Amino acid sequence: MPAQDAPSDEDLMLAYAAGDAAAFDKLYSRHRGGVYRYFVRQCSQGGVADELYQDVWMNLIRARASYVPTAKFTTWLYRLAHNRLIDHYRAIGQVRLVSADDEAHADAVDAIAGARNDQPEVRAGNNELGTRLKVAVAALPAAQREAFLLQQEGGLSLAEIAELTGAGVETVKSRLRYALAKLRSDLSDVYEPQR
Amino acid sequence: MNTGDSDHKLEAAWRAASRDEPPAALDDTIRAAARRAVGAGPRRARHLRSWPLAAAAVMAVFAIGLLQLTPPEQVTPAMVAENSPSMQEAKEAAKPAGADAASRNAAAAGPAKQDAPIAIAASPGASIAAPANIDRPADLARKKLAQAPAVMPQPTSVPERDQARGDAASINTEKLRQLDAKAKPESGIAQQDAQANAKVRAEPFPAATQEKLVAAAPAASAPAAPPPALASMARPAPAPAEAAGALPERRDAAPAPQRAALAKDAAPRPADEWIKLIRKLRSEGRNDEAAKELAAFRAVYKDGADALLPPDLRVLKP
Repeated sequence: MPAQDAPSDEDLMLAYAAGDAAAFDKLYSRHRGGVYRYFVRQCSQGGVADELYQDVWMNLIRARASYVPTAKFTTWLYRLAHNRLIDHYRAIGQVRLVSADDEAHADAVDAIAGARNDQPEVRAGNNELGTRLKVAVAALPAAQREAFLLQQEGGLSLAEIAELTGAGVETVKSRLRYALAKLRSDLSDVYEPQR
Repeated sequence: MNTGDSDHKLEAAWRAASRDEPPAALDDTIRAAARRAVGAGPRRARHLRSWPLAAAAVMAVFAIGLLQLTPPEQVTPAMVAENSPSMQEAKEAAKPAGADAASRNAAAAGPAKQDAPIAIAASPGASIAAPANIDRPADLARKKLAQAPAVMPQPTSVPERDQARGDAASINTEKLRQLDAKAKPESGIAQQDAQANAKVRAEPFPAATQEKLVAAAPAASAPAAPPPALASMARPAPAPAEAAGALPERRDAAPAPQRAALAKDAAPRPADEWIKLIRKLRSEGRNDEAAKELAAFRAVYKDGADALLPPDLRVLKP
């Protein structure tokens, strides 16, 4: 996050749109890790994550002239990332995103989530919390995982996530609640929840 | 704190575990693309490429502006006619005879008289200040060229005009005879040229040529009003040395058809003779030729033709 006296993301983006290449460097340095991890955690193949990550920044560069700071820069940036991810899902045939908070899709959620994490050999090989946590996040349903990643990597609020994903705020809150419950459940042997 | 949608310990564990960064090569690629997108390099290149086009557009705008600002008087029909090939030939033909006359006048009046320019009055009703040596064919030819675009006869009375035309006709006919006599008929080609000249002089004049000569005649004989189109023009007389120099060679070198056309241009046809010719043709039953002559007459005199034509010919329409 930018410091108090540092220019805001929106100012940097406007400066870049006006031709200041240095402003883009600062902006990129601030958000490169978050956006990259957003893709890495949702794409099983590293090469695909790199490709999507590059596409998002190229789209941002191309759309610089049309940028209007009506919302936070991170909301706009992660909207680009979200749209690119949806395009990728459509391209590989995995279009449907379901959420565990949606009771109508409970069966689908059970079928998708947790498959790898439930395997004994995987569980045995990931004893450390960090590694276990990554595996658990990767095992989350897509909608929950995305809400979790947008909150943790992008620093977005519930309202921003709701706006970005097109879901309601309560839906987003439910997704996050389900996601954390799932993670705590998966890490129960190595992680003691806060009281 | 552990709420339903927030777990700080888990989040801290996530931040500690998730430290993946994009590859450096990917960073370089993206940063380079960002610099290229807003960098001065490509834009400058585009601007440099557009410079020739912009310069050409500016030049075109200036050229069009200059053309628009150029007064139309600077390119008069007289100048166009003067630069036409037929007028150039007429000049060439007139210069040898003019050289003879110039030498005569030089002996009689001195060089200052020959170099006096033809002053043409500035308004259509004013008179032309003709030079004193009006019998110089070079001057006559120059006046004829200068008055080429004139379409209306001078607003003088009919007897005066006829008298002036008669004078001009006699002058030009005499000069043509001198030209033919000077051209040595040593070869068959020269004889053919002389015959062609004589034949052409016997034929009716084309309308445009008659118009020019009729317009030039009053200036040669007596002060008269100039044609409106020549209001602001004044032309200097040619240098005597130039007229007496290599011009005879040029005349001899002119091809026979061109010389015939020149002779046609030089011989005048007064209105009364023209009217007689038309009547004669009609009396001989050559109505087509009479109609052509009448059309030519009307083309030369235009609005003044009806005033010159007798009533019996005036009612005829070509």
